[in-house]
Amino acid sequence: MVYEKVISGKLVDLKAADIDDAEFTLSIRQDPEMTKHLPRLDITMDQQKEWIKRQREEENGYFFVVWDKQGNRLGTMSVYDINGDTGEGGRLALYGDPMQKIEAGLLMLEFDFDVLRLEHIIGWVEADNKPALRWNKMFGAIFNEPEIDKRGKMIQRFTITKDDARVACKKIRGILQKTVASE
Amino acid sequence: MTNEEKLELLEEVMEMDPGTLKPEMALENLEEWNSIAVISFIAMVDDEFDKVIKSAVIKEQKTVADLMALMEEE
Repeated sequence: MVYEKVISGKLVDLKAADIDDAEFTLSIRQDPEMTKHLPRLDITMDQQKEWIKRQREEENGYFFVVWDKQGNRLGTMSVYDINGDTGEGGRLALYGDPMQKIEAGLLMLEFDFDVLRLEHIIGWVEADNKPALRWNKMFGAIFNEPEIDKRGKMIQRFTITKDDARVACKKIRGILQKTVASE
Repeated sequence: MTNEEKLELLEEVMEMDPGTLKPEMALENLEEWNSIAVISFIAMVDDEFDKVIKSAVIKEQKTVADLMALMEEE
């Protein structure tokens, strides 16, 4: 599905991906730095364009490209497999400086809970992906015990409730406002 | 605050084992110095030293010693 509005922050914007973003969204998922813990996409440009077209038509998910204020693409974020009051968060791959990345995370969660009015965001990370574990915990995630997934990899599933996200986002936004506003 | 105490705080911020960090370490070589560590550092300095570090200042820091130098009250 396409969210027509730009989700605008102080440092970044989130915009619904379209086929013009195919090259970027494919390249970021083929970047060796990004694909340490995120599955690498071994597909063609045409296949990526088709995937984006399908994403735009699917009713239970949103796929965003993160942009900086200078018009450069920084990464991708998504909520998908929305079922009732729960969606899955993922497809997170971001370049940019720490404040940009943090604000992108905030904007995505605020979209999930305030615009889509979801109650839970679920997801999973590879159990040895410490930065991702920490990132999600910072935004209020509660993690399950590690388990082995279909690929044979050790993962940890998590849930972020609306209430936990609100508390976490308020704290993070307070820090962002101080450190960015003071420039 | 002693330098040892500052290093301990930084190790907590970066979720590193005690005794791991050394002042001369370059931040660009520390995988743990990521977005979450940056915001945790800013929050820690605000809490401990009542001081707001601008994000532009953070970008200029190159070593652990540089971060330690920021950990002072104004």
